[in-house]
Amino acid sequence: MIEQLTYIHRQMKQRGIEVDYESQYDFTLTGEEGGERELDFQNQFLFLLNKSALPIGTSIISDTNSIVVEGLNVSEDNVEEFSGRININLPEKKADGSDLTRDDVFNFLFYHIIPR
Amino acid sequence: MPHFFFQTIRARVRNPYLPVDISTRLPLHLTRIVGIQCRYCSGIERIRPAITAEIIPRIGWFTLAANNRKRPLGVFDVRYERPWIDANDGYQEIDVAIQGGSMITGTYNNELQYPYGQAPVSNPAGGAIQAGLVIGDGSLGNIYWGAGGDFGTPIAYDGLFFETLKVSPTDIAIVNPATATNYDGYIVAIYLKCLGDTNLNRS
Repeated sequence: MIEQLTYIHRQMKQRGIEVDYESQYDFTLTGEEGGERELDFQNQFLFLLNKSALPIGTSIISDTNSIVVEGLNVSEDNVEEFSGRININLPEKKADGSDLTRDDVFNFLFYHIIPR
Repeated sequence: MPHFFFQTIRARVRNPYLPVDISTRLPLHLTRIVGIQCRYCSGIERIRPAITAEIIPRIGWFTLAANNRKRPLGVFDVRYERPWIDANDGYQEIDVAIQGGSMITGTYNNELQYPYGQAPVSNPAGGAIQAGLVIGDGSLGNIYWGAGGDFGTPIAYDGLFFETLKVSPTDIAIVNPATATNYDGYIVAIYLKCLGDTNLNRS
């Protein structure tokens, strides 16, 4: 098991990046609003902490990393790193084939790091 | 004495919906990246229905970082060209010092979606095609994939590229590589023009 914050700080240290500010960054997306969000995090880092809680087919595409949640075997302590322009898309349907509605609320939990 | 070395990193796209991870350790004798070229290599010609365009400006893009993620290189588009088209084979100039034996990391994101920008193909069984499922009309080679929409209950999240597959008109086929003639995707590559020294002794 990996402790997520320890992992993030170790990554920053290995790259010689001094942290100026760090905080949690979270928001929710629902099926009602099209399930899309675009974020600008140029020269900053966003670490996704809850990949295993996201619906299958969710895509997060950024200037430095891209993932699609496949749903199987995603560890709870998985950490994914993003930077730059980040585009988040929920899938059109849930795993059981029904459409996403406004009752389907998904929380995205990130750890935000601003380097010095 | 320093020389130019050309390093190739390939990525195979088997599933149009999944990014391909790249994580390659560069040889120790390379010291500097001075040029980069991201190009399509092979495989698209074998996808059925056949692609008709001679040039597609962007079939995907790479995001790359060098020196164990310390040095982001940026985003690089990959275009498709038929073999007989004069390819633009110039290297894009960059100048990045390489740490000894460091990793090149990144992802390749496929953007090539059947029907290649044309109107979505509907299924004989009715409705548009569910993303990720492969649907046949009973004849060899007519495989539809990629467009989103409603097609009953999805059975599985899949979406491999296939050359030929025969399934009944009403089937929603879960792709089974054991029974289908599996087409192994397409290949794109990063060509790095590097400076290096084979006499270099560094660790």
